[in-house]
Amino acid sequence: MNRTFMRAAGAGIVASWIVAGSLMAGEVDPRLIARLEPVTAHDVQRNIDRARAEGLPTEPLVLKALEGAAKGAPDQVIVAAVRRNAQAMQTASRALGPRTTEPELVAGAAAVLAGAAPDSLRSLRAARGESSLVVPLVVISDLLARRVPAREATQIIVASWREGISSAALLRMREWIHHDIQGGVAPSTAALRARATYEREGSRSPGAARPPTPPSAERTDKK
Amino acid sequence: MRLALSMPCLAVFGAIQMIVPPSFAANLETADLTMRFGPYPTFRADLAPEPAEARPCSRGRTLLSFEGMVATAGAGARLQSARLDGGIDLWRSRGFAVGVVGGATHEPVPSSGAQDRLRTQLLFRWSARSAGVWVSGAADRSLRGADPGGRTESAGGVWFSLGSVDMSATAARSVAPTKEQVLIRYTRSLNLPWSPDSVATWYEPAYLDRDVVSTEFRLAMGVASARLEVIPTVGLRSISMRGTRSWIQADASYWIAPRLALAARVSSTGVSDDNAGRTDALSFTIGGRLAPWRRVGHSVTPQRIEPQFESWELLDGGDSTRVLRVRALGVSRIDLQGDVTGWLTLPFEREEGDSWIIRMDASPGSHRVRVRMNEGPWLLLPGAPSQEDDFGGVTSLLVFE
Repeated sequence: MNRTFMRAAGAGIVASWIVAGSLMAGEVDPRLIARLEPVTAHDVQRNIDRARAEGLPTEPLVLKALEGAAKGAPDQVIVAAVRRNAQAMQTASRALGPRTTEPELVAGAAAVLAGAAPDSLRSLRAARGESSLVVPLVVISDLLARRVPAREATQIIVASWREGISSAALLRMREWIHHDIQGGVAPSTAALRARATYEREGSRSPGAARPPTPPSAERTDKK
Repeated sequence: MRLALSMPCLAVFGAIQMIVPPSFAANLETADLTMRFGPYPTFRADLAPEPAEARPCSRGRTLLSFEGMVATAGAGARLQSARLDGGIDLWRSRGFAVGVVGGATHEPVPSSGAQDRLRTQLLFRWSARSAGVWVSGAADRSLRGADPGGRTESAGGVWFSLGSVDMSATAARSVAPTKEQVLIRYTRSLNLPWSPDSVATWYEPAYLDRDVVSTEFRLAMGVASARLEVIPTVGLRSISMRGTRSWIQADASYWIAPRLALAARVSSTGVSDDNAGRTDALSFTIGGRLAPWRRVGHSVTPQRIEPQFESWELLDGGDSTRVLRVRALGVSRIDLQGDVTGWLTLPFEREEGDSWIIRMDASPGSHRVRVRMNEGPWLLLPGAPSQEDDFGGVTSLLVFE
């Protein structure tokens, strides 16, 4: 056997020993072991353990890693995504306050990752203390994904929320904006137009006179 | 000579297929090149999101189609006709579609110069899983050539499918204004008294405007097995002042490799516009067919309808479960992946007709999901909220309250 082979074998044994030792030291979620490379599963689990120590929910992070595996993302991208989501949940948790539920935290983290400022999350919470913020946060994430500028998106949703818009009406307002964007209207104009319509029509169900969003299925692998 | 013509065409087509991105190619049902050699060698390239060759009259969407025919009779080969068509759907919903097809035709005529025409066709069609109807109206305009004006054509058809057998019937009527050359006889008396020898007779050509009305009925049947596709077609064409003539044509493709087939055609007379036919005898041509994006492993009779979302809704399934119901056309399978499945792929169950459901055990909140139809690309739920997914894509969100 030559020297190169001996070195490679030695490195392999050491790596296996480290991984095996690490896996035995902390319990790794079996779903991660089943779907990720052992080293990646360990790295993901380490981020999850850290999040748990900070009092954050861990299931969303496991699901984020599984999503990456299902989409064939490279290992380092999956680990980075889990880490980024944990940080975003921490930011959302600070902004939304101690009464925040897990679904709100998940939606808040998504909004933060999409570009929403923590202050806008604080404003939402301050506007309607006890109401679930899942829908407004989802709508903010959606508008940001559709390239509505962060400032307009958050201002419109926070203002509408403060004025008492219902979750259903908020989702319909999102459909207006989506419909206008698909029709070629600039995202910021579409958002401002939807807000103006809501202001004009008040709490009457917005969008009733608007045509529904045409059923066109877009691919998920486009940016 | 024929080989010399065909090789550059093959190279160009191959290069185009290399350039077209795979994501675009994944949506194509038909993207093939057919070359046939014989008395009238043809070169045909099709790019369509739905198959055209295997479904003679279903009038699926055509993105781009080119067909060229070369005549080899007499001295050397010369171009007989070339035709380029491009089509797009303007509107689609619940199996109904309105499309427009634009085309250009070039026919060199040695005696009178070339005929160049531009054609516009408006197409209305309705398609279900195993049957469909279509009607169309078309008008063309002569850019160059002897024909004086534009032709109009109205056509309609019906098709249905029984297992791997397709049947279709088509009727078409076209009106083409022509200038018909006639010889007018003139006589003149040369002197009196009259006698047969004292009359001069001569002929002068004149052109009369006439509408040539052509009516055609055709029946086609497509039969496909794992390797063999056969499409026999019979037709009856009647042209005003020129009589009625029947014709027959049969196309066959035999796949010798997953994406390479031998293609053959037997056809009789009557396919030319003047009803004179190119030849009175049966002609036989043979060639090859290259289809780099053909879906291998599926039946060679492809799906009739491009899978299409109709609608979706979220229902309360009781016991903290939710039911996602999707209505989609032309689908044999729908899968779901998402937070609610632990990002495992779970199939929908067929409820009835075009309705599919999947039951989810999900807590309140927002849940990322994506769906796919017929094992195609993963899709967003149309109209649902969405968000960036950290992996370079976008994911739909289902919100349970």
